[in-house]
Amino acid sequence: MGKTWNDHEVEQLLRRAVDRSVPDLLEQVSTAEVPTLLNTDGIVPPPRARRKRRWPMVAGLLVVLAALAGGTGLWTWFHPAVFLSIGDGPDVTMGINRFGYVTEVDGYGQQGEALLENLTLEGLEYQTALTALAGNLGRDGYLSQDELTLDVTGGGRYGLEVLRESRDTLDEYAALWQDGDSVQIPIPQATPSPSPSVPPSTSPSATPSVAPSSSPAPSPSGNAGTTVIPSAAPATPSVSGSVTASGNGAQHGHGTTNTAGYDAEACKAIALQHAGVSAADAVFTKTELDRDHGISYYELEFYTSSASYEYEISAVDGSVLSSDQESHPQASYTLDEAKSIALSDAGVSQSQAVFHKAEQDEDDGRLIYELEFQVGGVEYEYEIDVSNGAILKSERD
Amino acid sequence: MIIMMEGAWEAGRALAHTDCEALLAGIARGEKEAFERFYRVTDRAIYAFALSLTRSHHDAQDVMMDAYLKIRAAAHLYRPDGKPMAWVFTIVRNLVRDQQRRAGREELMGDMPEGELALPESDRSDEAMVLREAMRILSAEERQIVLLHAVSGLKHREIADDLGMPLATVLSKYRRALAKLRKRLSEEV
Repeated sequence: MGKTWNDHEVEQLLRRAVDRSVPDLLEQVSTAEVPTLLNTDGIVPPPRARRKRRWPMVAGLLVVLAALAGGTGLWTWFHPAVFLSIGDGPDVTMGINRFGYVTEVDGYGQQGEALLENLTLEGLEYQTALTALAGNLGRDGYLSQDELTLDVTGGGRYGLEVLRESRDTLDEYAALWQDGDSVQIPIPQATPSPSPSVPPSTSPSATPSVAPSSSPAPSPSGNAGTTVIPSAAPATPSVSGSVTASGNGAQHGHGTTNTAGYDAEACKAIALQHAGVSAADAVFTKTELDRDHGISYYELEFYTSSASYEYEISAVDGSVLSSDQESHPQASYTLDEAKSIALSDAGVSQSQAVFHKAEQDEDDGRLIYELEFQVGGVEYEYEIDVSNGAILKSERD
Repeated sequence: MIIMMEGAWEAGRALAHTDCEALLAGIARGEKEAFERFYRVTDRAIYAFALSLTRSHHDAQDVMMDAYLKIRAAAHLYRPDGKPMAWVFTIVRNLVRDQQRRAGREELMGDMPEGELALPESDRSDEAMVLREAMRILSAEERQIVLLHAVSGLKHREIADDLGMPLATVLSKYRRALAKLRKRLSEEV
């Protein structure tokens, strides 16, 4: 067995060979008399049919469509699709748009105004707004009643969904208030509305500044902090602070807080065990707390080199609610082969390149190699399909 | 040797970064400098492509000459579409086809019979051996792709566009061809 050659060296040899072989015909071909060809002749390919320049019309149409879409979007954003009313009066109504954000809030009578005291709920997701309102609802005895009056107007099926989820949210707090003892109210972590109409100082507080009369209980595992509010809390807890952004991917329409026994890490471990996969082999792409019919659960997605997995694990008792698995086809290209493809395409040798990143990843269900390397002052970035070695992305800076 | 290697490499890189459409427009206007510049940046690519099709140095040389004469005669017929080399390679391919017909040469199992190269059999240098092996053991498409990529400086995506092949095909044939050549070279050297 002789020397081992790499792709770059083989190409270098071919270049050298061609260079030694290529004839110099410039003098001959540049001075020969050549009649102008009037038409294509079977050697010269015919020109492709010229397409009519429609781009001005297309551009104009796109502008009109964009304006329509923008106008529709703005109208949809600011126009409430559903009105949620709270209390018998009702005492408070909330307008909620199609995206689940509160567009307007009104309090009726003294009771309604008291409920909304020191709260700014416009621009929040309605679940977050209800959570912020829950403190005042509890304080004023709404949550101690057998059933809090909730109603929706408009929105059709969407309205019914808002009603159901609002009831679920407030039922949770009602259960806490009906205890009559010091209660823990999990502080919701949610993202304020992205709309520019929301003032940056939006602040239904998640942190009442009233000092608790008893020491706080340990926070439930998960993403929430807690504060203890005695059942005989002063009438007006002053509010301060601001809602913090969630790091846990709380979604519109859910905004859940884990008050039960199994946190994200515990649920991940359960899913891995069920799948028969070790933590070292798995890459998690989704870990999200959700809620359905009053049950909190974690939605988990992870993949290994051979398969992708989806799990729903109950955050209450750790049971596997659902599981799904999809196998990947066997990888055809190794990481070294992918590097070789990238280096060849860039026209550089292995010895010239310093790799900063060479790892496998997943993109839309397809396994890829992500490569980043530097040659001198030039940085290269490649994505190579694991199954067929195709270059999916190549950039050079 | 180093100067020659640099010349081939530089020409290849120049092709990838040259506005060949603008040069064709200049040739159509009869500009000698445009034609000279066009020749200098494309000669290796055209020769390599012709060689990959004919497997013979003399045939490739004839095709190369005819190609440049045809380009001078027909540059005004090129309609800019962003793929000037696709136009050029089509001319080369059609010239090879006509050349083979005139010579009465039949394709042998979908490929041309092997002819003589510019580098003689007695030349035992690495580059001579790899070119011989490329002519000998690679399929027609593998030869086209590997030689164009090695010589022209074009990226795989551009080669796929110019040859009218899917990118995945170009990549897989390229990999297979280089694997064959590497293996053959390691046996020989």
